[in-house]
Amino acid sequence: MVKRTLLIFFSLPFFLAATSCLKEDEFTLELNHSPRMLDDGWVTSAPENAGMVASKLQLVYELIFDEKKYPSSRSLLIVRDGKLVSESYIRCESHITYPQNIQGITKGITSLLFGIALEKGYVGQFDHRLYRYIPEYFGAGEVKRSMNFHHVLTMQSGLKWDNERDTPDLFNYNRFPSSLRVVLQKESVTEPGNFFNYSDGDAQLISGVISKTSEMPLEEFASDYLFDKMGIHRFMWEKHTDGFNYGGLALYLTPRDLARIGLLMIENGKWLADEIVPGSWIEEAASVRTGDNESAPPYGYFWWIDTERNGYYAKGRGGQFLYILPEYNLAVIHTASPYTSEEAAVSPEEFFVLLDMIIDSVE
Amino acid sequence: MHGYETLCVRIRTQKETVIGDRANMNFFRKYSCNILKWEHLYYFVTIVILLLFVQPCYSQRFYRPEIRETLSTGFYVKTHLLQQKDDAFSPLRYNGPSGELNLITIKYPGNFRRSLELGMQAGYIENRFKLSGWHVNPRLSFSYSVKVDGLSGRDSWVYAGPAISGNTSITFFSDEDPHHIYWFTCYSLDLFFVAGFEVDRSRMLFLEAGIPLAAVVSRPGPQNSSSYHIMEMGEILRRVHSNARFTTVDEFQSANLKLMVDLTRTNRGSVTLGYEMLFLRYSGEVPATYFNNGAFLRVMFDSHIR
Repeated sequence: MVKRTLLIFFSLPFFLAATSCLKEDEFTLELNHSPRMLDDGWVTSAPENAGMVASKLQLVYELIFDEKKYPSSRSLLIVRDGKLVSESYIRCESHITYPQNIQGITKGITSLLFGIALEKGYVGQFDHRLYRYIPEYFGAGEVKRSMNFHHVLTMQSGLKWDNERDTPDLFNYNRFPSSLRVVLQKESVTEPGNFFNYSDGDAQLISGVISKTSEMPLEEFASDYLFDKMGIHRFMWEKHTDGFNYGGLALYLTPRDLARIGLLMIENGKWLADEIVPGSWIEEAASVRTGDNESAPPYGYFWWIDTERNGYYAKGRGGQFLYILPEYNLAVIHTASPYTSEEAAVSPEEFFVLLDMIIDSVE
Repeated sequence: MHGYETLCVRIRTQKETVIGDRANMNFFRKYSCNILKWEHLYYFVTIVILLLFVQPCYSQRFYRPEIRETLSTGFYVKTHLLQQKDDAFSPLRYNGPSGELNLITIKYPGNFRRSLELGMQAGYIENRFKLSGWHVNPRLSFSYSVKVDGLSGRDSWVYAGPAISGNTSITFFSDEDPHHIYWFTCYSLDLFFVAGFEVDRSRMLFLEAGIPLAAVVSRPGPQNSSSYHIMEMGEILRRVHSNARFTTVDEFQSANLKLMVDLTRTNRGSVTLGYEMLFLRYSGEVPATYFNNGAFLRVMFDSHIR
């Protein structure tokens, strides 16, 4: 009898263990889209004072806070007429000050840096071949050597690059000690300018050129000529062991600092009355540059063009979006988990649902 | 930046199975293996095993065990229900079935007992949104224990002593973060305890427990500093041992419990059915909890040294 009791006594913890579950934590925060009061230079405004209908904006945020609809979303910020009109942090309030990987939006920033480099004379004309600047990374082959800045900035270098398959090679330092050679060793599938292929590799070439000609890593160039002037001090930019930052991805910014980039674009390169990015460059970069290439989507210089809404945007893996609608003086910033697979990410279509509701809320 | 702030930024969010008429519905259908079926089966098996443990109490024919110096070598085949919550990745719980194969050798040289166990667990996990991942866990443990005469008797014996265990839980959240791995590596010095009760001439009942005293733990840092992890064996091995730190029971808690009963035992070996629970919890900078329990079948081949 004692033995039986003992056995049952010892078995009980096992039974409890066998039937227990780990507890989950909170997944979605309380809905709050009022701009937070931080001493970071942002001027905030109520939606009504910026010509937006608050009740309609409320619907936008109710939608994005529905974890069943937008479970990957992290933040949504709206900038209008130079002011931060609303912002929300869906999963964690501390995301407001935390730099996160903005993935492919990085290309949009690289484009701005190229515009600055062009103005400062670090790079020459658009039709200059890249071979002229970084010849040591090119192998033999006239086709590759014929690619110029226009080709690369419009993703028409003609190089066979698949982001899913080839971008991880940029991070495999041991196997590929040069990030530029990883790109340039890819075969040319067409003459440059004939085929659009969205490529992290092309953006890496631009990073390499700016870094080499300016004799500073792209992160330092960005800090000196762009970020410091805008009050962006808390950022991180991954780079290869060869010293070249990744031009196409892996820049980490806070959502509010990403919104600053949006405001800079709305103001056509001006920040506090100083033109820090040439306005002419922003106009060029934000216009369709893929020309007669019918295989290409509307694309500028590392910026996507939305011909339907008359806006332009940069986007990144997982559902990162920086959308500019110049005629409304409007910028919309959406960040999401940066590493999700394509299937689990916030798609452009899902983002455009939110965007159209936001546009509809403009009076 | 530590604690909650850094953890939140690492939250990888999930996707609802039913998201209107989205084009990727097929993806979710593909991955919508219903975990409830596994849970039901698991609970059924658990209850049956626990009832088996109770049953022998009615028919015991105790006799003085003749403990001879024995070398037992064999293997376990285990099936688990794995639950894990890794704050480096998500606030959500992931669970799913897993299988494990272990090789074991036990030597009883008189009043001592030595055991060496090597295992590999692999499983499929998913969250409540049916987003899935994969889990592998190579395990290693070595124990050296001494017979505790005060607790051993005519029909039972108890050994206790130190053990060293190594455990590397590697999770690959294929749907949500296909370019990174998440891990919980711990090498611990444990207090090990095993007790055997003679049920009858052909069966024994065993209770085994291991509780850590101190450990070296490796976990991902609070912020991924790389957009991609290189998925090569050498690189993975290096990564799962990075950020290693020494810790004690205030930050690292673990328990490995086994309850086993022989289905049959002869001089040449035994076949044993059992239940195992493995609990690992790290409450340091980036917390994680792994909870693993299930049933196993153990087959041992004995050779009597004297």
